Amino acid sequence: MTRPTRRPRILYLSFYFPPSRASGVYRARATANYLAEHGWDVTAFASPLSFLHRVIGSVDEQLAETVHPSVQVERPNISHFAWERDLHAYGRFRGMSPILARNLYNFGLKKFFPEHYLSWALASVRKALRMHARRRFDVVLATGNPFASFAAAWMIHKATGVPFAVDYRDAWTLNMFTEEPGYEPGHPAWRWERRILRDASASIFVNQPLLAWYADRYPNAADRMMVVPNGWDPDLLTQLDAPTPPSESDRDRPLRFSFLGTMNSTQPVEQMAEAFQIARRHPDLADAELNIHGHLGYFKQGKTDLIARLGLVEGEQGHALPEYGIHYRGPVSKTEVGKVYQDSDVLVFLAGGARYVTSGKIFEYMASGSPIVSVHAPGIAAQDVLAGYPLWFNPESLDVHDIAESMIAAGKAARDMSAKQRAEARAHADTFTRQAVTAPLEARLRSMVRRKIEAGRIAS
Amino acid sequence: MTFDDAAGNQPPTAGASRTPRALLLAFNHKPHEKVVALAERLLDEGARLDVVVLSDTNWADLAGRPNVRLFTLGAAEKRHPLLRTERIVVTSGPRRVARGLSRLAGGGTASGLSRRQERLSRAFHKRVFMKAYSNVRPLVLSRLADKRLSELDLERDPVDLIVASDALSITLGWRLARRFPNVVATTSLDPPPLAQLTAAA
Repeated sequence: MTRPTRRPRILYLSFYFPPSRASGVYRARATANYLAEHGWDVTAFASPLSFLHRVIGSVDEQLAETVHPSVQVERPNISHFAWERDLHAYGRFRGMSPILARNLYNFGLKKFFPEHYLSWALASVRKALRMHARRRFDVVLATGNPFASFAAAWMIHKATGVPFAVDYRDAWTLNMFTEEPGYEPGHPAWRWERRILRDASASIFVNQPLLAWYADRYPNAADRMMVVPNGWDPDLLTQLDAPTPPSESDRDRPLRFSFLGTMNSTQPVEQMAEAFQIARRHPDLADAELNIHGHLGYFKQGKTDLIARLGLVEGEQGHALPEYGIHYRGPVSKTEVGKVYQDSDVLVFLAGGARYVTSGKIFEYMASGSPIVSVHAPGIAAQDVLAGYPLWFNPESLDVHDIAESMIAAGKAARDMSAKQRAEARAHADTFTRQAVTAPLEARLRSMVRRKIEAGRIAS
Repeated sequence: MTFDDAAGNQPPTAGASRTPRALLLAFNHKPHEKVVALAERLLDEGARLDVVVLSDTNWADLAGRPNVRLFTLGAAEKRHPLLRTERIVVTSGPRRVARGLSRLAGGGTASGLSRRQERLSRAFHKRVFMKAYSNVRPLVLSRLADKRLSELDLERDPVDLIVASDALSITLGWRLARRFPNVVATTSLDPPPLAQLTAAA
């Protein structure tokens, strides 16, 4: 009699996981779902809900409903020390000795691990070891940021021998926006990254330039590095219309430009707003609108700064610049995202940073099949993805007049676009569905389990 | 401690609609511009504002404004037994001894001895005493403030918002938060608008 085959069991350390609405959460959701759909027993460790509600300030409950039902989500505790502002919530020690408490906290960051998420990582290790003792994990996959999850994966590996992989959704020791090392020499982050990449069975990056930067610094780990680009989620983008040519009445109405995503302080928001104001003087863009959909900033406080940078004023229509057609439309539920794309003629791809930045949103933009105007520094990694997209309008600069010209060209393309052009654009996007991009990662993880089985370390 | 009672900052009379009241704790010698901006914002929102500070020298712009009361603790801190003891043991005591010895020795040796003593006292004060004292300083300051809290009349005329704007003022803010559990007490320099707080109350 043969034993029933046991499903490979993976521990997925992903601090930002639904219902979080952090920009990296879609990759985590897609990875967990893909693994669950392909025969894995997935346990995800995520941030406590109290953190999402009290610190981040918002959640997307509908997104949580899209997580595969077999994924077991655990939420190890995190200390709110770094974020707590409510004096009622302070304990006696912190209340009576705030400076000593702060110094002790900073000592832990300096000497042990340089991230506020350290307490979550330690709680994750404790929980993982308890769960592993009851039923063994075969692989650990950690995604960062926060990079404390990498440290947790490394500690679990050291304690149990379970192989682990790390997924760099963002760079850790590279500042992707300045393209300089993110920490000074001797900083503990370097020590941690060195030991993590030394022992990790695989390290995953979102684009080739990022992989190359890491391979250059850690040549001994280069043969275990791979690229898994971000992608778009067909199950979340169900409302895209069938390709239809614009009607005569469509050709006469003012064009609708849209930015959809989380705006942040690294993006050239002023240039986008100014360029649109210039472009709108062109007859083809008369009365055109630029609608900004999504959150302004990752945290509650960021909104005011970005509204000021965009020059929006509060009025009857919310925050807007009505005389220039710029409107802030607020957050969009994932179920409404498709409708936003459907109601947009041109999409504005606004991104911060340059060479190492891809941005997850660009894949969804491409899936819409609409013209895309780039508003970002030239040479951004996302250009590699956009290169085959037939409706991409790239000014190759951040000069507002160049951007305005691209906006005008994209507007004209939107008016004249045929169903065939849209279908071709969508065909390019189809090569970047999550299914397509996650398959090599799943294969790599499976090979890690197989090696472990072959080495006689687990019984099926 | 001084209590500068501005004419415009009077408790509300019975029957009148209540003006919101905020308490800002700012113990850093030079307030951060965000702290000053918060004070301005609260005044713009129509609050009566009490600011507890160590020294009012950097608050001159705000001091003359109606609806503002400044409450200084710096002088009281200097008189605290812990600091006085340290001054006697580390600074003035050794200075007297050094001067006595100098008189006995005379000439250039005398001034050298005094200089060395001054340098040593300053180094000890800065590197040893202040490092240790900084850990208990928030507690010392909160106790000093406690003695004069009655002048703020928080029981009869409660505040709507308490902001501890720096690490030194956290202990006082925390103790007030425990005493007034229904008042919003925060370290955030971007607290909710007072109208929102008073409406919620």
